[in-house]
Amino acid sequence: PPLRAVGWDKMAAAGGGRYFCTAGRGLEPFLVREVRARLGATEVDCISGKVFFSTEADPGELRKLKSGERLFLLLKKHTPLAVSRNKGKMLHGIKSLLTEEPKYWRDVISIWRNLHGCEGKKDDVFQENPSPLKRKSEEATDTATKRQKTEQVRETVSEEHQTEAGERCVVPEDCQTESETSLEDSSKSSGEKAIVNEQLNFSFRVSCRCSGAVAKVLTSQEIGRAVGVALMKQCGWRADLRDPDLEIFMHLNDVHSVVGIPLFRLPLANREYIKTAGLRSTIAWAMASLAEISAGAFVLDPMCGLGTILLEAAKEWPEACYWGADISDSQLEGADVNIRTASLMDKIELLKASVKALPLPSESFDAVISDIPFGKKFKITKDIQVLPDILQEMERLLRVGGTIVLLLSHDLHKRMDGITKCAEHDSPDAISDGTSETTTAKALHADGNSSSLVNGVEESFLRIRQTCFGSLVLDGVYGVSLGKTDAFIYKYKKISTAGNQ
Amino acid sequence: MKLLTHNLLCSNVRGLRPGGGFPLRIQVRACPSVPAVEVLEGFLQCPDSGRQFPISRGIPNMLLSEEEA
Repeated sequence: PPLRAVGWDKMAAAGGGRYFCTAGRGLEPFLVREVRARLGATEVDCISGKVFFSTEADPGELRKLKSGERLFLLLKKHTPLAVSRNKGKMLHGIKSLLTEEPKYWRDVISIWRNLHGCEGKKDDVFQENPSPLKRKSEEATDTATKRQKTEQVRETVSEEHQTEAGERCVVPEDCQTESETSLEDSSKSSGEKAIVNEQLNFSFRVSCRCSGAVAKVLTSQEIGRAVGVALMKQCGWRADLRDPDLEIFMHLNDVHSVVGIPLFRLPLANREYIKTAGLRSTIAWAMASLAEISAGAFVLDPMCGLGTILLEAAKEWPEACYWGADISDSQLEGADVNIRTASLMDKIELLKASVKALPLPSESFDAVISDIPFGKKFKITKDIQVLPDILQEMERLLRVGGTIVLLLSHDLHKRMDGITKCAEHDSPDAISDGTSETTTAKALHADGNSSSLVNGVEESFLRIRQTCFGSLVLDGVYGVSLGKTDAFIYKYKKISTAGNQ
Repeated sequence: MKLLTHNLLCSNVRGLRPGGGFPLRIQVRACPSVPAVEVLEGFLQCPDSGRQFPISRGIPNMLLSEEEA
């Protein structure tokens, strides 16, 4: 059922809603494309690592977003707060963001309930007297700290774009004491408040993230506390740190002030169909989305590990056939469990085989997608010397017109970048001309290191250039964040068979 | 291992005649009157070298030893 229009700041007039979705750094363009394609989204804006969009799609469809992190219903989006040295003045400005008629908040709850109806959350709106008010302050603080830590870790892994202050804030115990007082206070429209309390024994939590100029004056905690108290007074809600009905998210930075409510309890990146994830599901999906998988396509991941890329691809593009190969029994076992959990046994087949010598015929696959494991956790070692063999095999298996999508570590990227640039400068009659070779050698010698390891590595990259890059054309490089490190998605198209240039 | 995979797999043992590694012969301890649509346990045999590749829990092991590769 379409959401009611209730005079939100940016809500579409005839139904539908306006949302924003966070994305891991580098995945924003994928998310922009996805919301348009999957949800028919309009008014799509990508700002400060968030994608804002409008859509009439229902929560079931929204839950299917694959390249985003957390999805929020947009409540407020304003220009950045005027910064002042005066904390009180700033807090006043922040609180006024959320000052609204009671009807506004009742509408928020009603929309929230429509959305959460999809998740099957039990309706505990008419619960008896809440226990949180009886909780001891230490317990509440411990929970707050634990929650804070968990959410900080999750936040770090999934979302960082700018250098955020990073503090998560929950409304602390002392505010609950204040709320008891304010509930008993009979001076300001207590009658209405009493009615509201009776009907909606509603719990909430405020989470605030701030960075930039705001963070220099106020902490997330101070803001969260002030906003929490203000909301309790306005709406008569009670604060619940552990399991609130409603979360209010605020993101305050130099670009905008945004307020939203999360649609789902779990991040979008948590897939209920994946038992054990290897690569982050959002990145796996993004890689598959570049592989141009059409109906009837044959797709291979020759270093599949737990099979995350194949799972994401087969789930989204089920009319293709998928194969995964790996040399490790334990990885293949894990992949097998994943495939069964996802009910994709009909779509994905596994083999125990080495990527250096795959028992598969030439030019038999439309797409080869893989997460190259080297150089992620450690510096490039001599393992890298097998990379030319790997790329050669991948190129052999690929049909002309097919696509290779690889995930490379930062270090691998630096070197591949050098090779690709040199390959572009190569001309057919440059055989005796040593210039291009020298350029490559120069690019790779940036370290100034002349150990035998480095020479071995350089030889490997020269071989890659010679064997592959006649028939493979680079079609895009996308930098993405893996949390602690960066990686790069490379897309190649095969334009001819190697040796026929 | 399903039929479509069998259609693709070839033996990559060194020194085979051209095209000698395909198609692999399926060897299962199954009832001969029931065709094997999916092989869970059995072997694939290279028609040229006779080398057997085991299939366990539906996954064929195509890894060659150092000497064979």
